[in-house]
Amino acid sequence: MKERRAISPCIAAALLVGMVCTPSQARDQDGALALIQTPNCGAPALAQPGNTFEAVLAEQADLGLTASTGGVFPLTVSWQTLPGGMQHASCLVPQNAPPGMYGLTASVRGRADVNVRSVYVFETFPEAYAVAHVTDVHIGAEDRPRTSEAIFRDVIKTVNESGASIALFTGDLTHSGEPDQFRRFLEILDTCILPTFVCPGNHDRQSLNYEQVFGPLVYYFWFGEDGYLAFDTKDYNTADDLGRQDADLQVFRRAIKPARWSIGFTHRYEPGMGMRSQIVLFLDNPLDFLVCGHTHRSNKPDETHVPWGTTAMTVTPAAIDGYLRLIEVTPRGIRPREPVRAPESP
Amino acid sequence: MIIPLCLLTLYSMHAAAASGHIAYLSGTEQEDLCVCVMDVVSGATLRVGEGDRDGAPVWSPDGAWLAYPSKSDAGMDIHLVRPDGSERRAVVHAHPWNRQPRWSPDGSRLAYAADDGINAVIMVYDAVTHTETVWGGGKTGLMRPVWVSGMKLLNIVKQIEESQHGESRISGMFDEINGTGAILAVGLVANSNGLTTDIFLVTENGATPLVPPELNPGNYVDWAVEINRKGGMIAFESNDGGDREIFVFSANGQTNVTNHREADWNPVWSPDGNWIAFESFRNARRSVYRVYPETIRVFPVAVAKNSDNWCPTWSPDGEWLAFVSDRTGNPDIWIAEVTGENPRQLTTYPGLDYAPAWQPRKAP
Repeated sequence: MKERRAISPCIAAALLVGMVCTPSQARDQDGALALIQTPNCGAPALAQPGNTFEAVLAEQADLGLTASTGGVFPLTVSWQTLPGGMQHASCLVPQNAPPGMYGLTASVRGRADVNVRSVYVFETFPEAYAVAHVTDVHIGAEDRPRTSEAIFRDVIKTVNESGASIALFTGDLTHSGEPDQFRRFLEILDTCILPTFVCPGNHDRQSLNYEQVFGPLVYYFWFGEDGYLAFDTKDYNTADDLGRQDADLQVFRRAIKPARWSIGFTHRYEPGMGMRSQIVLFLDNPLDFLVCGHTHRSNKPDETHVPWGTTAMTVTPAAIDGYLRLIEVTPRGIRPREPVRAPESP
Repeated sequence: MIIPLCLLTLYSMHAAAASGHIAYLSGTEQEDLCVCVMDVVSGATLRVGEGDRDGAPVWSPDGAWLAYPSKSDAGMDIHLVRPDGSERRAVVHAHPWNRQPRWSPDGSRLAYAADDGINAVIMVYDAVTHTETVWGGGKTGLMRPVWVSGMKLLNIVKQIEESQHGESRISGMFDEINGTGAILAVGLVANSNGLTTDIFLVTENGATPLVPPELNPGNYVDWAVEINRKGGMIAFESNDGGDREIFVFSANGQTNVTNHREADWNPVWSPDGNWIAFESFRNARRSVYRVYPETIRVFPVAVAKNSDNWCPTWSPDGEWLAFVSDRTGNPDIWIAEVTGENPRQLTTYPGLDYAPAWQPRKAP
């Protein structure tokens, strides 16, 4: 049996250097997604050679994986038109694509696009690994002694040195959801050497800016045998009236039901978030674990589980205060470590 | 004459043309959702809400008023408005958060859940005296109220209790119910794992599980209780082995009327009280179906593999259903005959349209 391991930090670091040096054509100038909607650096695809990953584009195009070293791997794609006209691509990862981080490139009729850090090829997935949890980054906040960007850079540096395999960013990425704040967030996020998965917070939801930068509010992914589900808790008080994300939550929760561990991540948990969501996620098929933020503090002793009982929960203090948390995921269980504070760069 | 007769026969197989008004939410995002009223025939639309995070509108039984939650400085208030946009006003509340309004059968009162989420109490607003009263004796953890119409359902429960226990818990509440009415609500129940939900009978002074725990074994999570117009049946959803099913409780006992391994939820009675429209995932994505509870036969209404159809509401004649569909890429209001035939897109606004509610009948 082959050894199960995640992307080597050395390879990732080498890829990162290459990526940073690659002229970025990704996204529009304001950071909005362009031809390629997903995957992107906030919801990347994780795949193994010979397996497929899913992509959504504004129109059908020639697709390829671009390694930081310059190697290009054309993708075999089967297309399906989605309601509204978006194009869904099922992309086959070439057998000869080595493990590492890739940009997804698309070109059609002289139009080109690349989403950097959007595809990660794994030879195998580890059975035991760590997840870095970062929340409440608040890029653009001006009430701290240091700039929010400086603090976030230190947090990312700590994440990169942590040995974690993936990183979850649970909302309030920006302080007021301005396009420029998202652009500044992206600039620093793209220095992370891990696959980075984001979800929106209440501070991010000005107009449709979050959707334009990261796409869907609800999605799921597999990391090896574990299923992760990102969801939005912005609608809260009228969530049951709208029913907007209920179907996605139901379908995605069912999709990851066979998982060894099912892990939800969202900006905040509050009992008033809408009963339909809670029934789906915490009652009918309870998630094993919920990761969230919002409160800018750790969970209290009586907040180890959601009130419905089964789903364990961890709340991590805010990245704007320099904090992050590592969560160990092993065959025996999910164990959040104590939050750590990123050392300040000189 | 043969051809015209054939045409007449074909025509008669279809429902009468859809008519009346549909209230719904429309906006570019949650923050600016506004209650609108559309004339189904002409398509003319009127914005009647605040346009400030409005919630789902609910018609009064005579179709003369709409009630809906909307953002306030402290949380959410219940607002009232005529379907032509006139006489709009906010109810003065004791609690900051007020949601899920439901009209009493005579249209004189509104019940709603007040305060934050699962710790809510049931409040009743009297539209005549403009006063607000806490119901359930102040019991917390009550949500999603619906008014009980008549005593038929409660007499059924009473008879079941008496046949199994020799006495009835709820009969002692009948005098109060005859005076001020009764509500069914979903209430929190503590169990060994944490919390679950059950259906509660709520009066002004008290709240008790509708069916005593010993007659309702298991650890089910109930939600979305709806009483049919005839007053003798309730539909509600509960989990059975992990997935949602719709149950009907009547004089014949409790029956699972959807029984599918995928989730079925959100039951809505037809105006005549004979059919239930509901949402189901039995075709992969969320779709609208209808079931005849007596035979448990299920019929598709709006089904698509790549898009969602949800939130059904019946036309007053019971021949059409309106619902939300995102088959064009964003949520719009559609209507179709109950057979699923003749689907028609009512809203073409590129933003968001949600929560349709068909006016029960024209205001006098």
